[in-house]
Amino acid sequence: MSNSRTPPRIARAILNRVIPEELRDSIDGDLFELYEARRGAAGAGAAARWYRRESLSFALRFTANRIGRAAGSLFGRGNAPSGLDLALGARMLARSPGLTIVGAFGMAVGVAIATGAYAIFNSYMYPKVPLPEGERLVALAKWDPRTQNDDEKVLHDLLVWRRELRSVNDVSAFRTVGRNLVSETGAGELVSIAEMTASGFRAARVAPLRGRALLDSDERPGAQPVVVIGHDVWQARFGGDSDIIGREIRLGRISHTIVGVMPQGYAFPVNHSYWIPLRFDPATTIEPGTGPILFAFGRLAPGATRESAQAELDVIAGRIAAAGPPDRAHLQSRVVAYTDIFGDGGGGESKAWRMLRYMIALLLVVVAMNVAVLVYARTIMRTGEIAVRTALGATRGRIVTQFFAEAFVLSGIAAAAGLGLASLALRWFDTVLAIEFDGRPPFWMDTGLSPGTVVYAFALAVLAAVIVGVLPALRATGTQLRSAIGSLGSGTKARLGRTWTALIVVQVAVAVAILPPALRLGWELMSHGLQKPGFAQGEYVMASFLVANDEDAAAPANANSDAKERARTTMNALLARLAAEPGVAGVSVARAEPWGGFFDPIEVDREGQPRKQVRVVWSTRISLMSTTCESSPGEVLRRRTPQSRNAIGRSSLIALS
Amino acid sequence: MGQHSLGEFEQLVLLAIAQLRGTAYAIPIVGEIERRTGRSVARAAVYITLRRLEEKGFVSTWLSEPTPERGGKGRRYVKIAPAGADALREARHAAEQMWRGLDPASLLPR
Repeated sequence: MSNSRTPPRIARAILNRVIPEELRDSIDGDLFELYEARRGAAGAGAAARWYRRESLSFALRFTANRIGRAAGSLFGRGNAPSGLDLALGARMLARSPGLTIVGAFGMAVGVAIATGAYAIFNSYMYPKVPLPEGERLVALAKWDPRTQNDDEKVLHDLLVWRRELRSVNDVSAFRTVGRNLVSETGAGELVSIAEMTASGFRAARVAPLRGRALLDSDERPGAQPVVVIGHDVWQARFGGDSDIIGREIRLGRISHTIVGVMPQGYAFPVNHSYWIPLRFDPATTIEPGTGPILFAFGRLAPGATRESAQAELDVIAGRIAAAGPPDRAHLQSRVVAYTDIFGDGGGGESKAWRMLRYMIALLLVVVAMNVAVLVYARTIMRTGEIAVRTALGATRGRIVTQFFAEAFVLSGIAAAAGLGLASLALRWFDTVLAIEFDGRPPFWMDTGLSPGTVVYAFALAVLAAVIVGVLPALRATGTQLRSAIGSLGSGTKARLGRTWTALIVVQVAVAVAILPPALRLGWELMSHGLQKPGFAQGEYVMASFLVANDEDAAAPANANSDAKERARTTMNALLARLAAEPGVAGVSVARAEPWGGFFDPIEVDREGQPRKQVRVVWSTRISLMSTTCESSPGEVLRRRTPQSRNAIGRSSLIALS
Repeated sequence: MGQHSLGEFEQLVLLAIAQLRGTAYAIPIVGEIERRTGRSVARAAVYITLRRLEEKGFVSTWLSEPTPERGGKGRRYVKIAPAGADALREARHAAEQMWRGLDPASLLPR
């Protein structure tokens, strides 16, 4: 235990470091006086602890004060960067082309990554639903804390929610189903359809462009099959036919009457262009945890909030759990943002995502620090110039402003280039996203360069300019300046200083440390990409095979037996037909992709023909929704094209070989 | 209104200096504010405020002779400058004008 008559040395040294020189003696004296008084009253240990706490408080407050004063002097009256400052900055950059190119390129990459990540994170984490009062749309989910997944068989709960929930209006549900849209010539095209309750249209609050939306009466068993189509389908498939309402289209085995056309851009609930009613048979008893996979949603009632809706849902969930089987009592009902409809049920971003977001933003700081080191090396060469300007009456704030302007020209150029790079990267990301979502991303995802992203890039440019310009300038106009003024004309050379030398050493050390794992990671990725499948993949075509189930959503499970038999028959017919095509060596069926490596994507036109010479076709998955999977896999692995999945009756699949 | 208006904490510091009548330096200023207001005051905040008030010309300071019981350091005494006195009077006048006609009981929610 210390019994020293003097305060703790380290704490005192910190104080001397952070307190302005003109206050240092008086504050040191005051704290010494108080320390002595405490030592006499409570002992040296207690006095030392008190002194350390006080030192910490002084360090934090004076540091914050110092930052505030620096910002004030930088942007205070008369110190704002002028056009002349920017012009001078541009000239200084032109005089150091090497530094300019290296610095601008480094920061441009940093800005591109940071803004690209910002746009993607915003699109994923904070999407806005582009519908009237879209923020009031909510998803209703059943969360299983044991499996950490949503329990998606919510039909039983959905019926209770529709009956009892008051905080959420228009409680609705949908599921996505695939159907063959059969043309007049008999050719089939697999389309993705939203099988949705009519209330879903009311929740979305978007009126049809033509005709009507789905009605509750369309959901009744036995009602005439109807379909609402999207604007894109109306234009592309029906040529914008003004008499579209009332026309018939065949989806799978069933002919549907077109009753409405939705406006351009409407893809609610996710990425849909066809809507058919989700039918429940009221006579069927729905047990908890049975029925199809459904996504439930609704619109918050006037005056209700997510929290109040959650509270009400909790009460209802308690009743459902009490009346239901014990093995489902642990499930939690949750109200989450609509855009979390495919999320983890917990809603919001995870800590890992948030951390990644900050880490990516930090990348620019690291890059800017590197550039700052380079710039500082040049700045100290200008110490003589700074000393002359100071001697002529320039304030520190004025000089720092000049350096900030110079750096801002550099970071501004970098930000513009970075935005260009980010724009290209986002376009590529959109392509990947479209493939991931079978050709069309969810309607709320917009990863383009928004005004917010441009503002973010501007803020990054300012931050980079502060790091690159202001930090070296503050350093160069600090204690170094006095000695520089004193040595004006003496020919004494400026020195880099311990801090910056250490920074350069750390920078080099980090670069050396990062290089081996980065090389290893790069090699692993590259070698995975270059891996060969071990067979002549150019001779194969692969397609997914889906069999539509046209039964009602709430139909008993055994109702699917007919569909299975139909699937078996259809599959066998398809296999026989494919095998009979000229040029086909053999046909087989597999449960999963025998080759898990990368395939090069190809584009196909509307007829399913490849736009260029086909080598390998990329599909995201193989879906065998039915039986007849007993054939030996691997004998015939086919080249795949997303457009030719389920291409029964079309010759395009064979034309690829 | 003068060129610089006073913040609430600045007023407390100036009034504490006035109350101490010529013996004001940071340690008794902290004590005076804590004793009269019952608030806990961060010592560093007082030094920062005194520095700001001096830059505004509201107070003037001078260093006393160093003493051994202070580790060989002097005290920085502070007194209110005429501009500081004017600012205090203006602040009080403004507050009184705002209170005129108001019953403190009427602030309670009805």
